[in-house]
Amino acid sequence: MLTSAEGLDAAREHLGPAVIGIAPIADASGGHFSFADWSAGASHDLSLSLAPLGPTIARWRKMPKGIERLREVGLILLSRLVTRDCALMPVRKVNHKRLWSWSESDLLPTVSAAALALARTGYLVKRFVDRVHDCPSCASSRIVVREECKGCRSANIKDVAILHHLRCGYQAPETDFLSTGELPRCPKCRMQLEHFSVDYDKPGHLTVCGACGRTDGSATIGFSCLDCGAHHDASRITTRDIHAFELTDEGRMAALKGGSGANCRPDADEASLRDKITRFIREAEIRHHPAHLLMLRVDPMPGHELPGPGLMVSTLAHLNGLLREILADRTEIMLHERTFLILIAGHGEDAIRAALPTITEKLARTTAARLHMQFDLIAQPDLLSVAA
Amino acid sequence: MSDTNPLIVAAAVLLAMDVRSLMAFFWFTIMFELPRYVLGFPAIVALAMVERRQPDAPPVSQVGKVSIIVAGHNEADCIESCIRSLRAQTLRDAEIICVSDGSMDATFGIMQRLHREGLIDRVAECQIRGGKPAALNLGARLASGDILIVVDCDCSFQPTSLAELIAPFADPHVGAVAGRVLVRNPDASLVTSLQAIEYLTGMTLGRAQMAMFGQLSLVSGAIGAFRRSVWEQIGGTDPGPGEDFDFCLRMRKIGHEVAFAPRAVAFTDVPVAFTALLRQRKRWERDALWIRFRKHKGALNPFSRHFLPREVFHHADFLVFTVLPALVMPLFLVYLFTSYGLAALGLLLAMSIGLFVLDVFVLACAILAHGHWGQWRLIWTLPLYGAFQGYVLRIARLKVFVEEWIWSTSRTDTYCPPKVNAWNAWR
Repeated sequence: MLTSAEGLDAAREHLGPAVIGIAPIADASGGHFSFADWSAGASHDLSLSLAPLGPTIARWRKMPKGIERLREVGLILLSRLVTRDCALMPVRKVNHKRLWSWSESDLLPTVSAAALALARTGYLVKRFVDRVHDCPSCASSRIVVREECKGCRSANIKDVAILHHLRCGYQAPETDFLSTGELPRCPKCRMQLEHFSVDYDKPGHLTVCGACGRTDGSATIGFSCLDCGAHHDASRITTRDIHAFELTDEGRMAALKGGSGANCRPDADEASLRDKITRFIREAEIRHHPAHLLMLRVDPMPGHELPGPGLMVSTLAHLNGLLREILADRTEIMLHERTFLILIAGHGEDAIRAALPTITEKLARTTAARLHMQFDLIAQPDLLSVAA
Repeated sequence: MSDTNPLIVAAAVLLAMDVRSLMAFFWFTIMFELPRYVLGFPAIVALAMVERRQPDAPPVSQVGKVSIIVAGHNEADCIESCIRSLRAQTLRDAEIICVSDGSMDATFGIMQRLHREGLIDRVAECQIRGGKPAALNLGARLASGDILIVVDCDCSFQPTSLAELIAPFADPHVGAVAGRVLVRNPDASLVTSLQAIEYLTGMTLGRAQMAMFGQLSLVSGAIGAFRRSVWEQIGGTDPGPGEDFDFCLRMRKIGHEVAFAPRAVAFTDVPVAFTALLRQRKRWERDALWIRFRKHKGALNPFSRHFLPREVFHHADFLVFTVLPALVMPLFLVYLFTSYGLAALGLLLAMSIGLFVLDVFVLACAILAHGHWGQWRLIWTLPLYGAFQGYVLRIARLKVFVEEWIWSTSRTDTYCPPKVNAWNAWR
């Protein structure tokens, strides 16, 4: 329970980022913390007021031991979402320059980057919420979008009808005909126009600027920044999509396993592995495709320790993506402990072996973890024995 | 057998005639055909003089800002190439204004896309078709230029055309400038090839000649430029058809000059089928007749308050060399066949051969004068050109004149919507 505005820093210092990020938080400071799970309200019955926190507390208790020592922001975020059983939702804040923000950003300053990284690994899935425009001058999203004069950029524009005097062929904005009286009078032939569709038509509309007098077929869309006052046209403005992030089964599993580097897929138990291999071999036989099982075990490099659980989870997820990218479409990738089981159909042994250095090289180039990969390729005749 | 052969009989008749008899016999040709050539040669000289006299394109700052108005109805097939051709001009910084006149195809969408690409400065849409004259008036109202250039959507231009077109505005007396129209599809059919000769020789030389005498009275809608102050002074175009011609007559009435810029070339597609050509010419001839002698009646009547001596020449030219030959030609043919029977065919052929020689000379001069060397290929259809002009188009013209004079068929013209036509009671 945070009781004052300064309470958060003190709590972070004493409890560590994981506890602050994951544990249920009650705000008794008078509403300083938007991320709190509960804020002190009008009710004086504390036990009744705290009742909504019950399920969150229950889920917090089910989290794996040692979770309070987590340092990886991604894993803390996953755990937070699991304990709240909710998605990571952006919050619209009109007093915030970027217009959308995260309640969690006080707890986890890099929450946005962490969520994007988790979405790339498949632990979170993005859901579109809104699209905002950013000012190219000051990056503010507080921008007024408006119709403007193409000439002087003034918003002082109005739509006027085009008026066509059928008799003399004069066609111009209606304002040209109204300048002399109540009834329209043709400025070319001075005749008064009385009957619509007999004397005159109104075949369309024009835009007239009250500032510079420019008459145009249409207005342009302009962007005016509320923060720096700059004006921009559409070609200079960048757009930014705002997303919510929802937990996937993989993400939930990773959080519940505490990111111990163990299974990151819920179906990676031995029985299901066996079933999958057997099914895969049968399908390959039916299609007359060569089938191979590539076993890829990830170990720390000699002289190095295994990376922390958070880094390990994200590294394995990254490797999973690399394998899908490098190997062909007809592959099934499963992870058991630190071993990837990759079922490959339709490729010869030579082609698969040729791809292995690429995997090693890309992983070494794109991750900080010092890992060694051990490959073992099993061809079809021996696959059944592996499955057995 | 040989005594009844029309050609032999015709040759015998011709050889038996003295000069006086020949003149009496070929009165029609001498009166109405030869002047076309006799005047054609000075016309070539006139064209050369006009070109020589024409100053190099002045800087835009000298003539003022230039606006180009492109108005069209259902022009999706050609509007983009026209705009891109305009943007490829050496005349930079010209404002382009497009008006879609009740188009039901993709014309307005293409205009909007080109506007987004920055090729067009302003686009307006009339959802109800009001006719091209009204669309041009709207375009002129939107334009901010001192010079208004009007072009047709189905035209493309030489890169220097517009710069050449505005050059004569350096003379403050010039209110409008006519460009030169050539055929873009001469090889599409025999009909287009014959029209290509006509555009290259007859139309161009005729305009050069009239311009030399200060009598040019037509700025083609395909490529023309107008001083904005003049445009506003006479209130833009009146409902058409023939609004371009009518505009020039009204402009001349208040004392402005029409110049000719032969180096301002626009290429246009002409009708491929003969029937389409006849429809086009029907409209042209009809417009010329009713605008000259119905709308601007009194032009040849010295007692009319509309009579202006400086306008007599081009009206008389039209009467003598366009209307009169069309009316007299049937009489001449009747005279020929009643007098000589089938031998008249041979005589007509002899006349055609004589005119062909002159046609070759005029075409050669026109090509030499303009430098459009590729037009030499038209020479293969030149033998038919005399008959095409002298008989086919003249008969069509006669029919149109009679219809218009007796039944006022222009009232039912679809160039403008019916409710616009309904107001033109004077037609």
